[in-house]
Amino acid sequence: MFFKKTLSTNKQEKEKSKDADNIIPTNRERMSLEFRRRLQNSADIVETEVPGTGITLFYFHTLIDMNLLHKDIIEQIKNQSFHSIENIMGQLSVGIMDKTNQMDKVIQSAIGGHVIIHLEGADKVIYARIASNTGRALSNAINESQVIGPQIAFNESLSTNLSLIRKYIADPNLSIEDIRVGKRTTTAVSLIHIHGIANQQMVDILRDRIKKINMDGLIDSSVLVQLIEDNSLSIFPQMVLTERPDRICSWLLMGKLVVMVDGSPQAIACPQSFLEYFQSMEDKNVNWQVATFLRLLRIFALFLSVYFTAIYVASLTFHYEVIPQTLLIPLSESRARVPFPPIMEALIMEFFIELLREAAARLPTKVGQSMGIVGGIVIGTAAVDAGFTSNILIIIVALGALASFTTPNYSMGNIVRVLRFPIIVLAGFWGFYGIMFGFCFILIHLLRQSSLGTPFLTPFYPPRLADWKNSIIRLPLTFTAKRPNQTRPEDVDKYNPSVAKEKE
Amino acid sequence: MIKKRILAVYLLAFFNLTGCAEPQILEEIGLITTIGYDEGEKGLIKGTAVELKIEPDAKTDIKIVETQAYSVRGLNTSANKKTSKRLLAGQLRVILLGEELAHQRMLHISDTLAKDPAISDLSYLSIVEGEARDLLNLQDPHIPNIGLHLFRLIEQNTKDEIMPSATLQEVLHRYYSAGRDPFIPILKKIDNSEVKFTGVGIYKDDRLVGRISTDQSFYLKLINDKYKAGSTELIFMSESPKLRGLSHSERKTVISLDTIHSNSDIKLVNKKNLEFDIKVKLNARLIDINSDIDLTKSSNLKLFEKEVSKEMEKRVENLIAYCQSKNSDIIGLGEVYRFSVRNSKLTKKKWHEMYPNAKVNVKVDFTMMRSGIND
Repeated sequence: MFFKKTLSTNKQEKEKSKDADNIIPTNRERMSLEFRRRLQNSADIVETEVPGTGITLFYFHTLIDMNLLHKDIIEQIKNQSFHSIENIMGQLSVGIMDKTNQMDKVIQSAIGGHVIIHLEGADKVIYARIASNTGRALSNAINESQVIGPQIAFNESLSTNLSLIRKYIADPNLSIEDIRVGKRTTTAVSLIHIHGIANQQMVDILRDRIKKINMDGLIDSSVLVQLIEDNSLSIFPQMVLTERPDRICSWLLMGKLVVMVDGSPQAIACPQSFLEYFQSMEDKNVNWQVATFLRLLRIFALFLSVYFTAIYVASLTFHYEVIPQTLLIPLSESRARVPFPPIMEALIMEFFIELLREAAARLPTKVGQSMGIVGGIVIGTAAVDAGFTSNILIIIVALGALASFTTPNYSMGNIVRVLRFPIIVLAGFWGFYGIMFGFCFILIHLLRQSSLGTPFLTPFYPPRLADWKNSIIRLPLTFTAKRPNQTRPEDVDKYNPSVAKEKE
Repeated sequence: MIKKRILAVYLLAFFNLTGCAEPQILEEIGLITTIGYDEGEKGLIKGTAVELKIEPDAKTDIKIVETQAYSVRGLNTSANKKTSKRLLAGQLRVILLGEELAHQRMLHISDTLAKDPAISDLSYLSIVEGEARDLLNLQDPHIPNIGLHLFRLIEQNTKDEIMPSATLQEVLHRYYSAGRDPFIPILKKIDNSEVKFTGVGIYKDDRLVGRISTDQSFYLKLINDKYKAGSTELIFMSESPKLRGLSHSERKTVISLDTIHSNSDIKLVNKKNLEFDIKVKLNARLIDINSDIDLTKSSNLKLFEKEVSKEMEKRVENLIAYCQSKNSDIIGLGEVYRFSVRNSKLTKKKWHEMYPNAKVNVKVDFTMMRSGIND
């Protein structure tokens, strides 16, 4: 008890002295010393005295726009005398500025691209934001390209990205919340939702998760995803990353939440269901028959990609009964030359394909084209001629690889590829039992996952029949008047369905 | 901790349960696609197996393996002694029974085969006139794979509704059902170059007691089953001079029917003095007729339909009379009796006592859909 009290008084005293340290010095030399000391005497600190005014500017020349500095600040105040900093503020034509007497705040602002305006003798300083915009211009979506629909993609600047979203959704209810993550990087993270549609409880949970992150630095949104996912140990991502602003906006309108990180061209959206990874933005842009066809195709491709090679291995190793009689002769003929058991053969071929893909992904684009030739020749013909593998397996492996590319989401595509290997091994050791075991294992795992608390396999489990209209099929827009149950929206109706069905 | 234990239990169960999966790598096994059984000397069974043996450099893909043993399983063991690859019967499609063996041991063989989980219950059973071994050794440049040829032949004819279907499952089902007897189609080798479907062998219990012709097998299916797209040719002596054939020497009428749709209904009308009504509704397209009757006239059409119905009735009656004389109920009248009479406690023996004396009234209602003849 006693000790506690003394400790607490000590603390208070310390804080007091700290507060005293934190007050900015009125004297220019002392201010300069303090500023440089706190910023480790960095070489890019510039200290400019505006002649004849007693004003000194402190800033990082690497962070600010020098043109703006001259035009909007120095030009406005030079050769005038000021009595108080309020006078100076009146003269400046900078949009974002404020005054403070706290040294901490000064340092933070300087790092954030502000210029610090210090008047000799004044007890406060002005900090004005004239940050330079280094970064690339907006460009086409490369990773998630589509034929019909907007072509623009996010870039690394958070403010640009937010402006893109604002442009699509000119709704006063669009709420953008600023959260800082990372003790050292203090990266700006924006939590975006549409107030009145998005479920408030979900917003609270997500905000809480982001705020509780205790990391030194955050560079990209893909790292943030791993930190705020429901189960980061799972191989399946439970929140989706996208570079398409149109996609993000359509999700916001569905009641989803979006998180954007400054410096990252990809936005996070949640809650996300497993099926949505196999939907593309283009499904909404083409008519419903085509969209349904494409979605069914992708689901088929998913099974093809994960199980086709495994079925080949299982039926050749254990279940020769299931092979159609017409296939028996070509199958055994091509297998007769191969010296490996089916499982080895399949693993070698899959390994080849993965090597090829990884090599093509890492190579510069110019060299990448030659990979196709190498792959085509080596895997296509030479492997068969050399008796390394059977030509039927080549078709199967190539089909499986092709099918895995149809997954619209890159990270899910990776997982589809990886899942194949354990299934092949299971098939090679235990045949169809093994495949079934693998299938059940994956299914049960998926059943147990959740995305921001919503079930991952919705709308199939738990069954939400109303949401089936827009799942592996897509019905016409007149049928989907309600927002999906998955996001538990506060406003359920997108529009009045009875009005929508009337046609002029 | 508990979770880990549960996981361990699951894994253990998985490894134990699937530990029996025995690798049977395709190119290391010899696949038997067709097997023929014949009666050997002193109770031996002669087995002739068509082995699908893929050697990239060999001229043919099949090899005939002949062995003898006292049991069906024993055949497999002794056949293995002759081959470089382990023989397995999982791709078995056709089972042939030599005529002699089919008389006595059909049940024994099909029962044993059905018990093997690797063998498909949908394999076709066939009786061979003469020896199965003889048929499987058929040499013809256009039949490089006799196994595949037989399978295609049976499958094609069964699908086209020419041959009554007799798979392993169907035959055993008909045998074990009280009030029904099995039948198996008969194949014959002709001139060492062809195989032909020549008739249907009919059984009383597990004894081959008689055979019906391929024409009669059409009526068997007509009563037993439904036609969806059958076809047949009917040659008969018409009572009406209008319908008399022009081209036939005896002035018999020859008609050809196509796209036959039929359904039949068997009813028990008298339980005491066993009496059944068989009603068959049948409509078809007439594609050929050798008389010059004008079928656009409705009176002629009625006459024609009546004549055909009558002829068919006669043939069905003949078929049933023949089966009754052999005491073989391939139509399954006993099943109709069994589900029409409460607590009948029908056994095969009881039914075979009642069946020959049953009275069967046949009514065929034929409708011509289209004549297809240019006017």
